[in-house]
Amino acid sequence: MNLGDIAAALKLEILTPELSATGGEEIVAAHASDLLSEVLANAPAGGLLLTIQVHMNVIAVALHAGLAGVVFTSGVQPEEGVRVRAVKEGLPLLSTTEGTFDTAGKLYALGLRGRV
Amino acid sequence: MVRLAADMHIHTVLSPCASREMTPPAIVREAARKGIALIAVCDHNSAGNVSAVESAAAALPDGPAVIAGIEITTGEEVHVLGFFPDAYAARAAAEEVAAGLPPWRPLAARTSASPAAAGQREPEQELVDAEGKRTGIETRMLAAASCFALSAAVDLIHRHGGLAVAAHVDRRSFSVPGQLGFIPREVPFDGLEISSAGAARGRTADFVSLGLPLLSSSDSHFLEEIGSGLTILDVEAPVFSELCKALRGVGGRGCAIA
Repeated sequence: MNLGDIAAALKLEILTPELSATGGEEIVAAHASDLLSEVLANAPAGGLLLTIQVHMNVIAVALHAGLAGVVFTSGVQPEEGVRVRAVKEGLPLLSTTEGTFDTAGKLYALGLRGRV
Repeated sequence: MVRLAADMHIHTVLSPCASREMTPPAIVREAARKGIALIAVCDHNSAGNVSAVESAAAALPDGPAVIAGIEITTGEEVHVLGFFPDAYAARAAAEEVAAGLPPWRPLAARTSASPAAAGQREPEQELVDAEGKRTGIETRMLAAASCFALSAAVDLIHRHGGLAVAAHVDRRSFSVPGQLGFIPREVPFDGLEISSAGAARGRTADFVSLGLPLLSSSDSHFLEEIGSGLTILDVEAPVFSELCKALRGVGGRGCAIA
């Protein structure tokens, strides 16, 4: 599944419509964490990050970790400046009102795993 | 110019994680006994005991100078120290922080678990006077994250004339690098605090390249910890205006980790 398929399956809100969500890489992994130092250390490259952390550093950390996108859970939304930076860097951002636990469970049911 | 030892991060009994022994008279006696000329009172999300420590220090012949401070927990759960010109400014900043904190109730009112049975002291968030006698209880949950994001917290401190220092940046928990992966250069910190344990392990070198003043302090929650981390200041006098100049290296002043 690519990001567009996942967004459709989980009814995620796409915060960066400027970026094409379809035709991207196959996504097979995800990581759930709000500690960005832990994301840097452990997130699988090419995966999705589930987080409630909305600081600007999310973008730099996601890029450094080679992530395919960030899903903000529990209805949190980053400030516009964060969104703009993500668009500029080509990092898709999505959001959901559901919590991290439920979102992670649905991704797991779709076949995604933490470590690949 | 004088060279003096400063411990710029000390909690009182107001902080829910601090020992009951951290009363104003005990803190200033311990600092004086250890030859510390300047201390900063930095309770979690409150400046409610700052004036009491100031009074206790003034009542002691060789008591330390006291800087009014606070340790704000940001929305990202990052700890940021604020040092202010006086207790009035610190309280004004603290009032803004407190407005966004959830209410606090004693543990016994929230759960059937008994903290005494678990061998733990129930945090009481005590407001005390210069003698250490209780004058009230803080009714906001000081251990909670405030509504201020990191940049907003630094801005809050600056709006009240204070200095903003990222706390214990060498630690994994509640630090800027721990929560946010790295120290964002766009946040205008006035300094970085290295924990005493970090300074002893040589972690100071990891933060030199950021070009910010570096301090070390004890983050004392117990009396015996006071002075375990120290910053050496070259200043005209142990006062806030001189601290500002020391951090900026004005006119031969300076600060260094002991």
